[in-house]
Amino acid sequence: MSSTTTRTRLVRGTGRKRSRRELLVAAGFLAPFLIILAVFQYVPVVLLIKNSLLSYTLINPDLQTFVGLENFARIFSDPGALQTIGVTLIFAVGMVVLIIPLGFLLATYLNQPLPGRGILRTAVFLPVITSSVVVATLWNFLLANEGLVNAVLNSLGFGTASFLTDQALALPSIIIMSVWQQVGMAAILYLGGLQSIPGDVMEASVLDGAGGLKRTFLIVIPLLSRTTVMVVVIMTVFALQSFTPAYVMTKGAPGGTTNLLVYEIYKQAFTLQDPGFASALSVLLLVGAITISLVQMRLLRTRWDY
Amino acid sequence: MYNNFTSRRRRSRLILTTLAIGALASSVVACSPSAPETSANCPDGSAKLKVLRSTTNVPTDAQMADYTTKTNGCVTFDVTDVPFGQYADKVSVLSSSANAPDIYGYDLPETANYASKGVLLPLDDYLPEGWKDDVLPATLTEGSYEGKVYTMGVQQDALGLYYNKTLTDQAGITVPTTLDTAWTWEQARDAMLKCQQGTPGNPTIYGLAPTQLGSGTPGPVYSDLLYLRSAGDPKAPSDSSAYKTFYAISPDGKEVDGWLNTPEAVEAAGFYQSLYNGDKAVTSKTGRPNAFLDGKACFDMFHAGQVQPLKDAQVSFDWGVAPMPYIKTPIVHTGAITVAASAKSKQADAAAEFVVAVSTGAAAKEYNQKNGRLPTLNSVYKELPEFQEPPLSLFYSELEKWGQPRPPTTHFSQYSQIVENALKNIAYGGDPKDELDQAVTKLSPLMSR
Repeated sequence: MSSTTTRTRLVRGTGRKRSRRELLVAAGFLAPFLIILAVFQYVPVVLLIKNSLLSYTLINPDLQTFVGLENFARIFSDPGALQTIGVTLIFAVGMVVLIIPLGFLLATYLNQPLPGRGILRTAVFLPVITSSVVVATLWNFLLANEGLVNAVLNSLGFGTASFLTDQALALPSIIIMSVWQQVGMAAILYLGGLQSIPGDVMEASVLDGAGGLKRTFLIVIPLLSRTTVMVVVIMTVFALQSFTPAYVMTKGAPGGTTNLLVYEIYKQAFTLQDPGFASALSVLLLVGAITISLVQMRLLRTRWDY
Repeated sequence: MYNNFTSRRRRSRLILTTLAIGALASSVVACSPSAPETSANCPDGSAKLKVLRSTTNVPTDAQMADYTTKTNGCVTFDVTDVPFGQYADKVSVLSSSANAPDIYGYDLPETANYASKGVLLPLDDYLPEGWKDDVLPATLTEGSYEGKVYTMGVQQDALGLYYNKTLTDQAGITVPTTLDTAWTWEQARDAMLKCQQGTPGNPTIYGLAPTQLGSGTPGPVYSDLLYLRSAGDPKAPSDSSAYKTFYAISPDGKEVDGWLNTPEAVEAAGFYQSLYNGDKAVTSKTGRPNAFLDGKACFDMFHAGQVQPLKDAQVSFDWGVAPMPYIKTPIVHTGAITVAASAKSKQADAAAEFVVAVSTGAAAKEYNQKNGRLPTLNSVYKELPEFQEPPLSLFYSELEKWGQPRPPTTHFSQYSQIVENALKNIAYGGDPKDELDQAVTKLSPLMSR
């Protein structure tokens, strides 16, 4: 009895020692990455929150004043900041609303046995991996009053449209540009989703007499709901973080109608020398992006599995 | 045994103490201000100066190379180039860091801003004798803050109205070329309309070339605030709206309400808007680089820096320069890119001496002559006959007679950015009064900080 107990204790002791050693080894392997993650992700977030409670300038960062939540209160009393938040939300909604159907349609098209399918897929994905600055500059030339788009409009007998300087056209123009650049990402994600739908499900639906439209709406789209959640969340976060169109194409003009939140943060911090307020806007963006993503995931949660 | 143990302890203590002293000594050496290294070639020591400049501006590669040669290689440079539009942002980040530059090449109106925040080194101890009597008053004013000189200016600038003589002759327009015959903006706009070809707003030949200044879109303070300021009157009583319109900021640089948004400024902004919109539009809201050089514009507002490129390009048309048009009072903005030393430089003497060297004497003369940029020193001006003949003489006359600094304030970056946005929005069709009032609302809290 006692020898059995001793053996059990020995085994337990050896097991504990081994698991402790394994834990140490695991911790050793993970440590560099955890440290990097903490230093470059979490410490900056903590500093950001701290800075949002201060008033100071970048040129003289030592002259700080603690202002509590004043910077946050300013966001909701400053018409410019409120306009920026509104513009950014419209930009995000516009992008997502256009990208989801376009991405899905492109993916459906690319999922067919087409000649040169690989080249087509590459072409669709190419804008995604092209530098945003290059894309914005290209569209700047296209949409200028003397640009290619207006040349086409003029040749068709239409007047010149000030795409980037008219208050009614500037935001839709940069939404379309961003959709053009990012639709390839949505298409590739949807393509992955389409290819993972089990063949027997589709086969069964054909045998049950479901036509193309019925199959799409009653089987394919519901089964792609996980992909849709992912595309919606990725595109929303991308849109909320968008900076280049405002910086390169419009500088937030005309009348602040393209003044996206990240561009406003940049201006407040570096040009207007108010990094405390810029930090408060950044905290708001962080919390907003997390909240919106959680709400989207909750609303679009999948009820099907395969 | 005991003795052995004690001696071992002593030995390890001795080693530890030696290591500690060594570490302390090396850290003291490392933390002390770096003394210039001396050698046979460099008895006064050598220095490597970190330079932050806006791309293609001063200090130029040639200026630095010449200085290195002049100092027998004892002073060398490590240059960081930043696009002009991002320069002020970069300074705000770098100036407080441990990696602050030794030399800044920045826009002259920022002097008060940087000096008030301790970024720049006062140069009074390094100024050559007689410099203050030799320099243009506009440069001395803009390069000083609270009685101290922070930059000496390498060049000055003023805007002129370049014209394509071939096109204006075809349109039967006689363009004034002296200050006393300068056009008002109404006269200038009529001439531009007459010369323009095609539909206003989308012409084949522009009346006025789309701006190449700033970010290449409407609104730069350097050029476009002139419309508003020229609607004012510096000779009017100092509490009058006309007087305040001319200065566009209070004398202490802290107030803009009632200075930037006066009725005269709003009316002038309405005129400015009409240049971009409607039947009398003579220019474009979106940029078209080099429209004037390409022969696609009758007129172009640009500084003296375009004279040399026009000569070099050997353009196929005749051209000339007219004085800047005005609404009520002729005015041009002074100030150009300049060079200063950093207050944080560990090689302050070497940095200040370099600034003095490129801003005076043969180096200044050579730069002004090669680049066709207006000299800041009368002595240099007298030695360069090309500045006493058209077209460069016209710029110099404007500078002397009409020159005014851009609104002087320790918040110039903010002022410049917010006013530029307001002017841009006005050009794009925004209500002039609303836009100027909004600019005042945004600026007021920032400037009173």
